[in-house]
Amino acid sequence: MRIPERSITSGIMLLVFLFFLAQALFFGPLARTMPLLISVVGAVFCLVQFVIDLKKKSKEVDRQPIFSCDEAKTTAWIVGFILGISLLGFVYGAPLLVAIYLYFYAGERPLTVVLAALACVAFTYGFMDHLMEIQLYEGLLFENLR
Amino acid sequence: MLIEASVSSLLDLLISPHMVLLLVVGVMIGLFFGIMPGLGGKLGIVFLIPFTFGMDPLFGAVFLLAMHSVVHTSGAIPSILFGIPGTGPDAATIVDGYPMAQNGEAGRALGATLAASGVGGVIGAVFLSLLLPFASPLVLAFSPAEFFLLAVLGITFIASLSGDNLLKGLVVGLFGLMISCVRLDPMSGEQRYTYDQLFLWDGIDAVTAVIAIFAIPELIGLATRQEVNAEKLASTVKYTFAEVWEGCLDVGRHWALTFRTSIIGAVIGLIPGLGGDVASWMCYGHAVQSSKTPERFGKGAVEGVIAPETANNSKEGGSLLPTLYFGIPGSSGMAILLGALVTLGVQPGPQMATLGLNFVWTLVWTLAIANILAVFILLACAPWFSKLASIRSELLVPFVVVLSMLGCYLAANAWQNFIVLLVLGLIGFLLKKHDWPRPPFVVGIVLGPVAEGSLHKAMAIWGYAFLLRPLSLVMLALILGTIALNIVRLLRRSSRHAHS
Repeated sequence: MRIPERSITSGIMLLVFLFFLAQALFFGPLARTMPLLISVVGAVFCLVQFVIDLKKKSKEVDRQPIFSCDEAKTTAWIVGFILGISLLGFVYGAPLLVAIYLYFYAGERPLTVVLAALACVAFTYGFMDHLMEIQLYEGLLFENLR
Repeated sequence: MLIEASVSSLLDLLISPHMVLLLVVGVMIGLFFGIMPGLGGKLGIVFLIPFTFGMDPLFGAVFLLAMHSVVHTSGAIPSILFGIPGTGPDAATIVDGYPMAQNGEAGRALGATLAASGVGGVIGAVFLSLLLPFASPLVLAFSPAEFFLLAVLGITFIASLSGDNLLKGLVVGLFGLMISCVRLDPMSGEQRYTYDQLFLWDGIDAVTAVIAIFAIPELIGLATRQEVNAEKLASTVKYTFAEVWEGCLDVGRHWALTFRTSIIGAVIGLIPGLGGDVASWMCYGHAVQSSKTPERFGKGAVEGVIAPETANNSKEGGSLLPTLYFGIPGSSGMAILLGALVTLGVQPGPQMATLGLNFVWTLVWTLAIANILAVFILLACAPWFSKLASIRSELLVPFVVVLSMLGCYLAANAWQNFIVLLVLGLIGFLLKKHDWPRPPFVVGIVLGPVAEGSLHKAMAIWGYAFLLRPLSLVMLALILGTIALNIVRLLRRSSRHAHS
């Protein structure tokens, strides 16, 4: 049996609520009141929605993939940004990743890429770090090297 | 006392260069976010939150509200010039604004938009100020029992915004409430879903959660959206100042319609969960119904531009009241503003009626001044602003990702927030992809701690009998009524489909 794509969201939400519900059972009486109340109601609602989504399959065939090709690529880039900045921090990681994204993914001209990277340096290092004196994240790599 | 608070707030606002500067900058940024299709006011607030860290709560609130209140003013520009709404509620402006531009009346349509937005915004602020004296005694009559039910009512209202998807809206609202439970239990101090991670002890940061659920899915959409033809833009953008002025005068010529739609918009804003789309379309419908020549609508009638634009801006005045006094956002944009206010250290709720009166009045004045300011700025820079809409989204995406991550990090000074951003961002993407409404999530995560605290207090004082208090019964009736109304609407629609 092929599960329609639309029911994946309700299925995931159902699992999330069941997970929270299972965990809440082990909390103390005061701590579990609210989580139990929410997770039980949420799980029931999700189950109903899941059944509705499953039933819709017989009426309309849902062949739309969860991620289209472009969406999958953009999501991969966002994950790359998160990993990159986690490792290299904002001051070094952000301009580098902006440049890589614009050059390799967006296919921008080298001049645009350099200008965008410089704008990013001006924003993170110049504006945030120096002008606003906000302590920016240095990155796991540089924190461990220190 | 109210008049005194009103006047002193206005003076405080005007004599503070810092606040005036923030208001002006907020308006400029709001106009930018409005004109960029795909960005909009909700994302604008999300991206500006990091810049308000360390700011005085009042200054931060003025900055964010000024930005948010003018988004629809400039959002009409892409609607009129090339039929792409800058923000959701501006879609109604396309119906007559775009045909006007095609008929060579772009300047007149823009002028009508600007004047209607300005007038609507000011009437919305006046409407809010007139309601304040009546709202204070009402809000002070609420006890913890009502506040718990009010949180549930807020989620139900916002969920009902999603039309056919009431159940989905409720699930997302409950998910927000569930996420707000990830922290140390406020009563016993016991760890809940924190797995010994220190950064989770105070709860999942609301800013990170909002960025994840709203910004990440929008970013993915922004990176894959269709671009506007630059040549087409250049050919339609030509107009003279006299044409723009003619449009401004049109608002005066249709003063009765302007006034009526402003009031309708403000009243709709007052009802939690209805939002800007409802306001603009309802007022457009009113303009058609009340016109002696309804056949002109859809072909370039200036009234079809005036009505949705006044409603768009006036509804912000109405929606600020439930947001500030009850902690129940009047619209999805206000839901995010509510989250931002909490981040700034402002706790919306009944205390606003007494302790925060100056704060509320400053926001009322901000709303009025920002709307007037936006009109003058746009009158001067309309052609320049319209060129901004042609900026390619590929260039914006990486900067927006960096800004989002900056917001997450600065919100709690914890890099682990990036993991939360990724996980909740993917859930947000799934929600968006399959048409699950996301605003109830914000209401859930913001009202979660209030709801839990109120529930514990109500149970300690009255036990389960708290549900039988007169005001609680009213709340319960409203909750059940909202759900029943949606079910009836759904059943009617499905039976109509079956007949057709």
